[in-house]
Amino acid sequence: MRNGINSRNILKKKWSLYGKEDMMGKALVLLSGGVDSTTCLHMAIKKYGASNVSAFNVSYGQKAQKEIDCAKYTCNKFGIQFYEMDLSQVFQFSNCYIVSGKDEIINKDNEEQSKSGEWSSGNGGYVPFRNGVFASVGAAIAWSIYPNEEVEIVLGSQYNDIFNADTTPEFCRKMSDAMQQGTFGKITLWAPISEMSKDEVIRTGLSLGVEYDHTWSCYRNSEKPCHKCGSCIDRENSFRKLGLVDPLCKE
Amino acid sequence: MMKILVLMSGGVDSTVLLYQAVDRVGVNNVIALNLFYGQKHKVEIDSARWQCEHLGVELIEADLSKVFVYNKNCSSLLAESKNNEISTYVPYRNGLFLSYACVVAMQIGCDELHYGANSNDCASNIYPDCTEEFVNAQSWAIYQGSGKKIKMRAPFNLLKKNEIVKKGIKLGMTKEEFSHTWSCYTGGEKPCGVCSTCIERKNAFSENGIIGID
Repeated sequence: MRNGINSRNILKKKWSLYGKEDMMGKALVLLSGGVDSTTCLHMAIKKYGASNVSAFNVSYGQKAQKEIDCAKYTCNKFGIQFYEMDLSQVFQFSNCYIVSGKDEIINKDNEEQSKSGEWSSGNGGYVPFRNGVFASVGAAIAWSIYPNEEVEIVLGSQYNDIFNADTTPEFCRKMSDAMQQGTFGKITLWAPISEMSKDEVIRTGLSLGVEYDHTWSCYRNSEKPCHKCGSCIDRENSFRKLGLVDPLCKE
Repeated sequence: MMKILVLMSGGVDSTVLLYQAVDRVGVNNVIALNLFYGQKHKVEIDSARWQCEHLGVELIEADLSKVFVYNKNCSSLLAESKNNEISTYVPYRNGLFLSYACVVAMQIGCDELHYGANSNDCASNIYPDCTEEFVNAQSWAIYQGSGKKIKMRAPFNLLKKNEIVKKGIKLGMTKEEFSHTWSCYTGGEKPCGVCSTCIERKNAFSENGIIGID
């Protein structure tokens, strides 16, 4: 559960490139291993310093084990503790297709799905209100691993996701209020990319040294991305907008 | 017809809340949710089960104890706790419960989520996730994050325990029905009778003329 402590010293030097380590407080980042959350991890490291950052992952039966491997890679690289929590059993209600057990993966981009209403019903690619649960799980973990400290739970919800009600900037503000009230004012929510588009996220990440070849977005769990699911299409388009090729598409 | 999901611990407050929901929308439109968080006092789950079976309400149970595995040394309520101090705050437990309940409510198509925080809990600062400010903030988060589908209500947050018991009596609850609720924090077969919640409960019953329930 605790990875890569030994690589910390090597990386200390590297950190001066990204910013000072004098920000008070700690950050606990929800890290899936995808583009958004990996970028958020780097933003948290810049703000707080790697030694004040931890990451956690909540698995709820997603298909892509590859994503977790990417998350572990990044944590290892920076000597960051990675807390994994398997909540697939309590998400058994979900009938959405990201969760294992349902085979059809719809080859449409995300926006198209939102228009057709597949998301809002909970039958699309989304477990409704999951970010509320993830943020709450983060608060519970943060209280335990950083007792009596001020902690920001970092959530990589992002503008492209705006059609999911629990990723809007409005929701993030309300959720942060609730977390602050419920933890003696110690724990808040930070959603640093909530108002960025995905290409802006990638641009920010590149300036912070994110290795996007070690992130995974595809809903399928094969060796290479499928290039067909909504998540792949979004990602590849965003790189294209920056005049770049997704490193996972390079041969 | 409106559907209500009741967060049901098996204690007095959430049990009266369940009876009230059934009274409002009928037994077929109420679903109870009991969440295990690794607490010592598992008897309260039996109480929740008894009540739901008795009323004919569907009960959903889920185990969230994994979330608190890193908290072994903090809260004395947890079975794994090595802490003997009186610290019954389980970090952000109620916030997690409500967020998870919102996921369930959306999946099964409920319109409202009912939460049994009472005014004693709300007024004290022991449990920050029971205060009125928290209840307000959390209900906003749930309303926004559910696409304005789920309304969270804490109808007892201005009532004291004795007033909640009174409400239960008004709803027709019998002494036997009250006896199948559990409040004690210790993990014994019978309530300890001396912890704060045991005393509060006993007083609330006797003030309403219900004698002989522990």
